[in-house]
Amino acid sequence: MTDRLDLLQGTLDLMVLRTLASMGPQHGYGIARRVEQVSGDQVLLNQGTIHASLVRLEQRGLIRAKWGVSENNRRARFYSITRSGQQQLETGTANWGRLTDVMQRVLNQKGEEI
Amino acid sequence: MRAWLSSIVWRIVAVFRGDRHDRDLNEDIQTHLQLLADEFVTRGMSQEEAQRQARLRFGSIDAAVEYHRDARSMRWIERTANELRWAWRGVRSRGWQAVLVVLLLGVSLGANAILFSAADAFVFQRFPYEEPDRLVVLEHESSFGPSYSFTAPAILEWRRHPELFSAVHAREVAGLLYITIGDTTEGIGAAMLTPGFAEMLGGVPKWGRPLSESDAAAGAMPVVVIAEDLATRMYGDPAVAVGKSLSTRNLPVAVVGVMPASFRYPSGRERVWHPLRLDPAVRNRGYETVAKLARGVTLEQAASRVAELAEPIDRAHGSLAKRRPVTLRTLGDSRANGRYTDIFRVLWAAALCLLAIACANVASLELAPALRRGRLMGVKAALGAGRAALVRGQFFESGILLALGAASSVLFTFAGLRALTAAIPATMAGELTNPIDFDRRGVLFLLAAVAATWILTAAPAAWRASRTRLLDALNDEARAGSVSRPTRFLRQILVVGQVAATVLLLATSILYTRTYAARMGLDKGLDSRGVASVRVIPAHDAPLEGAPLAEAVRETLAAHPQVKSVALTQNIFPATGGSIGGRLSINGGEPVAEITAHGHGVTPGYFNTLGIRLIEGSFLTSTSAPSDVVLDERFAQRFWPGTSPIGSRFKVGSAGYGRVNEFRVVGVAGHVRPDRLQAEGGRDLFVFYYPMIQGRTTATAVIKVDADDALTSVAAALRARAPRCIVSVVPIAELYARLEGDRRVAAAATTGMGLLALIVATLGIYAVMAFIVSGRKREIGVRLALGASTGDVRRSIFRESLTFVVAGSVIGVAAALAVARYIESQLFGVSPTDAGTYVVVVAVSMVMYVAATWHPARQAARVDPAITLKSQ
Repeated sequence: MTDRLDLLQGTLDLMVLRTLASMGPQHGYGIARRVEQVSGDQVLLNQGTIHASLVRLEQRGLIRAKWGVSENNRRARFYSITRSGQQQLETGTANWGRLTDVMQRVLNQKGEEI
Repeated sequence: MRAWLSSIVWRIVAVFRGDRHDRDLNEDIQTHLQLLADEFVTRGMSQEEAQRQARLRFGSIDAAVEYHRDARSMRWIERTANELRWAWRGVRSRGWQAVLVVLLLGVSLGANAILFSAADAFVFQRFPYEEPDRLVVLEHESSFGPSYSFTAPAILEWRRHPELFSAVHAREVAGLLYITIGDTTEGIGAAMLTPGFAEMLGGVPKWGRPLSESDAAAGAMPVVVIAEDLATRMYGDPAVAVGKSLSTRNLPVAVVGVMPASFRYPSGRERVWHPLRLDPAVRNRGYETVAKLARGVTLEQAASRVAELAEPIDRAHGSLAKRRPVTLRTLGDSRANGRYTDIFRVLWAAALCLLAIACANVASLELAPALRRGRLMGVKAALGAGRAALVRGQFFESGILLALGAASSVLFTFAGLRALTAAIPATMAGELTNPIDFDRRGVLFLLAAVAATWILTAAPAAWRASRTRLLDALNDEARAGSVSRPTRFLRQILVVGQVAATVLLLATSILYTRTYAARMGLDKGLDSRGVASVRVIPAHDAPLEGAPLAEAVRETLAAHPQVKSVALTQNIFPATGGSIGGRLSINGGEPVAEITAHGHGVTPGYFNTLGIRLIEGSFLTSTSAPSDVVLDERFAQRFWPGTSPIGSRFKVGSAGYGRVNEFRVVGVAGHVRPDRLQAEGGRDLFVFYYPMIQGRTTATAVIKVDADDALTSVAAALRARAPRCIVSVVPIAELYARLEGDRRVAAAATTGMGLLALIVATLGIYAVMAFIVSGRKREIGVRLALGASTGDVRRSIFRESLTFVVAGSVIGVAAALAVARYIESQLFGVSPTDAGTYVVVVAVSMVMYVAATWHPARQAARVDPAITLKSQ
């Protein structure tokens, strides 16, 4: 497990929003699986944590849930992103971009410049 | 913010649907596990192994469920409800003290809301219109000063420039509308507005519809829009007014809309609006023109464009605009009304001062229970209440008191505003565009004041609560009085602040009251006792008017048993509205000066009725020639210095009254104070009396009655004799008092607040001293046991409270001197550094000191050492 990434606080929510925005309505398992796949299995979730993230997002009105039927005919809750979820995703992505940018610059500076 | 709100709603819904949420979650998790297991099976695992791996990958199911439950729990709501219950218990345990605090907060907040509303109308937001900065008045210079008058062609031309103005509208004053309610007839101001005028200001009818272009078309059925307050008075219910018919001078008109009572332009005098038609063919009639700048256009840009446009307008229409360059001014600029600005600013500041006193007092009172309940706090702390919880508790308790106070303040505000609008003379209120009411801004201000008060009153006690230390609080020795030094210091500071603010308010109130008294005490030059002015204005359909009306009025007055003397007059004195101006020439000589004069037409009994002195010559008699006049003393002294004007002839340019423009002086009367000593432009105004010429439609008179209460029956007699006439009978003293209306309001308001502050501060000192005494019983007992006399004890208590009062008085007097300098221009007959005023204020604060300390000092002297020491 040591070569896998530890998730930073709050990043999972953003990943879930991104996933729902690009894939459309998904159930919990689908979202978890997709995150793992896209990360090239760099991120391996305790998939239960996805449900904590989902309830947080639902509560804040960023996603909504509806019962549906999964590909192998099981009843599952399908989550979809709301309009304010889209907005949140945009600001979150922008912030994340800025943060990584800053991190890059700080971490890449040369010794003599310090 | 939205996310936060949504989360609250979600949680509340979740409380009622908890079971369903649990079921949903369980099912969701089971599906998830199953899907995961399916995946492992497809990778070739056995069913059993797949299930196990799925669980591993999922992690703790319990943790997921727990997190879910937590997210939708209402724990914080339950906790808050609990704390509120505790706070309510705390409030109830205070008994009468809680009632006192609520009243105190209610009155102080109410005073603030009232004076803020007044200051808002007079100072802060004089134009309650949408985007008032974009509203401009067009004007041009004329020989009488700036004129607003423009012809229809000019206005229509401006309308062709939407890049400049988003709207251009016109107004013209229309004749009064006479309505009779009961036996009283009154005249309601009316105006003609181009359709869309009210909408440009943001005014929309509450019932019915606005005036439309088709209403203004030639030959359209005549319609009006009226104001809600008028509709209420006429029909009881404003909603039924639409469709009713009103009788005006020309025709009956139909009411098509009712504007909200708050809609005013330019003041509250006009309550009826007719449609105004701009006829491009009419070039000899001017209208007041108001425009709204197009978005993004500045006043300067518009002004330069308007100057460019003037030429084509001139050429095309030969309008009034051609004579002088047209200028633009913002609405606020053109209706400057700075006269009352300072006074209401000061009054509002005084109300804030009162609120500060109340806050200090309540904060200080709040500290006492916080201290007394130190042990309770200690127990709570021992049971695990965090500091945050203790502080919250204090804020909740103050919050409950404040909520009750705020609720009662709304009642005080409504009552107070009614009293204030009644106290403000109509002349002053009539100028207001923004009515003095508890509008949206008033409510917002009150809420802000409540929030500030909450923080100010709860903070000291909350600070104290946050310092609760378990051991100290539970220690038997920790009881009221033997409190920490900083807490006691804080209370003393609060008391000093109250005394200082009270001294400041009292000083201001004395200065204003003396100013008002000095203005009222000015020699009017007449004996105003029992003298009243009478005015009877006939409606268009009144059976009597002109000379027959004047004769009927004179007869009715003369026949009234309580009227001792009566004289008809041309108009109402001390108003000098109608004046003549020109160059004064005496005895046919060269003009000596440019003057403005007010000629007052009177019948012979006038001078006796008003008790005016005769200086020389004679008064007018029934045989006086139309050119005979009596000069006011000031007029005579200025232009006939050292000589007698009797027999002199004079002219004021070619102006005159009737056919007379050369006057012959037959007498000089003692100076009577008119409403103003200067005419517009700062020229001195001079008064003379000439024999009255009959022929006006309106009848005015002065009477002297044997008792002031006779005026009601005089008015009733006139109403009976002259139906459909507006009858007003007003004591002359009241007419003079109205001239001082703003000072009267200032004196009454500051006196009211000063007295309130005095009571509040006295209670404040009392509470602190009583508290100190009760906490020091042991120390006092010891001193008494060691041989101190009761007198010593009493003196020591008095000495302690004297410190606050002296410190507070010194600060208060210093502040009052600074404020007095600021309001110096509003003062009259009293200097801002008037020693007497400050001596009185300090004396009053000494009385307050003795009154507040008397009882606690006696309690201290009554301490029985044996009992006190034993109980310890």
